[in-house]
Amino acid sequence: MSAVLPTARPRRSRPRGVLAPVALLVIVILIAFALVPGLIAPDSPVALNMADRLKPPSFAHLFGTDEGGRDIFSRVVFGTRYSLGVAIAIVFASALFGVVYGAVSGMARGSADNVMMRIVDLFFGFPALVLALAVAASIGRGLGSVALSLTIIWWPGYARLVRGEVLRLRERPHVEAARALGVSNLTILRRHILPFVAQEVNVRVTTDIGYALVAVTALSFLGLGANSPTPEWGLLIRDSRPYFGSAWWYLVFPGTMIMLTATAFSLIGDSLAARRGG
Amino acid sequence: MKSLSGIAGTALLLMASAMGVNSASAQDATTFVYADAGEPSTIDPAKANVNWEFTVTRNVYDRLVDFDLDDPSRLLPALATEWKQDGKVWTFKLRDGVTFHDGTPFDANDVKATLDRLLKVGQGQSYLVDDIASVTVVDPKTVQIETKAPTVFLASNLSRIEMMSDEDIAKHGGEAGEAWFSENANGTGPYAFVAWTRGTQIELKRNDKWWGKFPEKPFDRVLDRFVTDGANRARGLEGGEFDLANFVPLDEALRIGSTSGFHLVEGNNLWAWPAIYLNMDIPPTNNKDFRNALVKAFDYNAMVQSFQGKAVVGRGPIPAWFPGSPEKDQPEIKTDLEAAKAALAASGLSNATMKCSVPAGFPEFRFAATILQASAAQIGVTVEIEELPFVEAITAIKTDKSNCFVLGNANLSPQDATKFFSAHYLKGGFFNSGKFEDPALQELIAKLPSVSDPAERAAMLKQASDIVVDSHYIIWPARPVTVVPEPDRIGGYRIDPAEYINARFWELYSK
Repeated sequence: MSAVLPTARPRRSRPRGVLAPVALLVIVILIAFALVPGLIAPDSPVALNMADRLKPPSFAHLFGTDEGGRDIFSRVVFGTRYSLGVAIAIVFASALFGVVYGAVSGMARGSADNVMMRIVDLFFGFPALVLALAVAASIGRGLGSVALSLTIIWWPGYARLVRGEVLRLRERPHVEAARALGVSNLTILRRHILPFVAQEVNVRVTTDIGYALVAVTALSFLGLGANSPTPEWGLLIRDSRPYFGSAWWYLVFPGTMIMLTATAFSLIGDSLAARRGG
Repeated sequence: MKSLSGIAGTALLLMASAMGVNSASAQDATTFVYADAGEPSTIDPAKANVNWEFTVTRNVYDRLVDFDLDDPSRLLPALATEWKQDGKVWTFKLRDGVTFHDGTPFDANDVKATLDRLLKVGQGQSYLVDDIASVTVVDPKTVQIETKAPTVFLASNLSRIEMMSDEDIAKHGGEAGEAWFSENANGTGPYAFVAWTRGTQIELKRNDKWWGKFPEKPFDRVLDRFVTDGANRARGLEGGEFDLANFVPLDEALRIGSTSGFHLVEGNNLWAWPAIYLNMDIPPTNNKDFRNALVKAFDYNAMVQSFQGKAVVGRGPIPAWFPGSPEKDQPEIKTDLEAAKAALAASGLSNATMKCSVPAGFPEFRFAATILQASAAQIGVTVEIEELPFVEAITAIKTDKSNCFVLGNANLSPQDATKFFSAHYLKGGFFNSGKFEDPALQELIAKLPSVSDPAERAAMLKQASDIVVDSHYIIWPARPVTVVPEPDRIGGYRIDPAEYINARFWELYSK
């Protein structure tokens, strides 16, 4: 009987590699920024202080100040909540919807699967920027509309990934054995397929947070996202453009934060993938 | 004023995103390379309405009169050498021996054809002369212009109207298609149109036969390059790729002007940069005490500091340097939080929330809104800022989806304030986005051009100005000085008080 029992379990995966601990540290710091910005940032992210207008980095202002004399470090710290928060929300919402959709599609097979996957193709073909513009036009510009439009673009990736995994896993011996024992489709999906899919999804989610962050900040940079004075990172870069020649720090620090964050999530994603593969 | 003809009451500066232009060096002493903020949509003088279109029309065509840039109350002869007003009739004597770039002579028929066409087209700067009733050719060197009502401002407003050739208008105008004028130019001016390379530049060459006087060592050739990104213009100017650039962001301008090899040219031409328009139709801004509270709460110092001190705080709509300005007799407008709180209490609107739509692409506009937001927060009022493309932003307030709108003001007429008032503060004015209306103001502005006594006109202008100030319709955050960095190797640049920003190539020279 032991051959029939679902002994096959997904191996635990843990980030590894030389850079992975550094990336983890960066992410821990970012999470601290997002959760308790008031404890970390030295100044208010919005209060104007014209006497300190466009001051270069110093001990008083680690990242310098902007055109309103606001401390850019404080703005970056407070902005983490918006930039990273929205990116995480987009990826989680997409993953949740995509996994359910993909699993249902994979289990259903046949014409239902066919129709569901054509719908996915339809969403894949939609240009993100055009959709973001349309959403902004209908519900107004803001981080909410950015989150909505990027989620609409993002979920099909998960749906397709999960459907493929489900199709592959459902032919595996332990699944066939479960089916032979008369276990219901829902239970098979929940107990014998999804735990394996979860690994793939974890890797994807981790890597995607970095990409979503870049997409969120890009839309804000284009003026479709956050509104002033929200210290969202993309908006900081947008606001910094007129001063690039005279205040490099204004552009460089928020830009570096975006790069560091995206890289950290990408590295963690990679090490998760390597762990799973090895 | 019909359709969009009021548009040029304000110089509209719509800057697009980055687009660099590769180019040869500007160091050649006979070629002048100008970095312009945009590519013209037309170079037809009857339609041109933004600075980078004026760059071509102002230099290729001449006007009947000119004015003294240092004292705009003084008119100077140009294509007309003498003029006089007699009630509704103005008579202009035309200059002898002037020819167009194609060789045809300039005479009174050209003036008539130009003005008839301009008024028929009804676009561009036509609003400046829309009080003209008829134009009559007396003889080839004399033209009479009759206005609908007497106006003392006709000659000064004609200092903005470019004269075209009646032969061209007969050949290319009317139903045949006005399109020729959009991309060709044949004027009498100091520079002649050579070629337009789409997306890159317009080339002009110096007109040796021009009636006016060039300085020593003028430029024989001008390349008007389209460089839409302000930072790129600044860097190109600094690197020597351009000889001059328009709309260099202030921080960059001050920085470049203080480096060796550059100096700063400063002058007045702005009426407000920006002005914050409050919506008179919807709450909470339809409440006068509430508007008063915003005007009193606004942190004017912060705005002046954002211009690095290169600005004053306006006391009303008309700047002190404008001929007949009442500004010196008006009280200062200052931040007064206590008075703001009292006004807010009088309005009965505590914890109000309002929305402000800001045209994207203007750092100063957004920053003014940011200051309004911070200032209003101090009296418990929440301001939400929305940055939108220009048309969406002005539509938002016009359709009552927004309480406030931010815009920059300049006035193309060197002496006439009534056109500005019509466009900004009278019913139906294109820029009267917050829908201000006042019958007494309407009457004053209608009557003002017919008053011949300058003292009486000044008194009326003060009344008009006071009406706008007392309504608290507008917050004037600052009136900056215009600052242009000029390379030391170039001389002759002067700021036009009635245009933001100009390039008189015929006054420029290499040192």
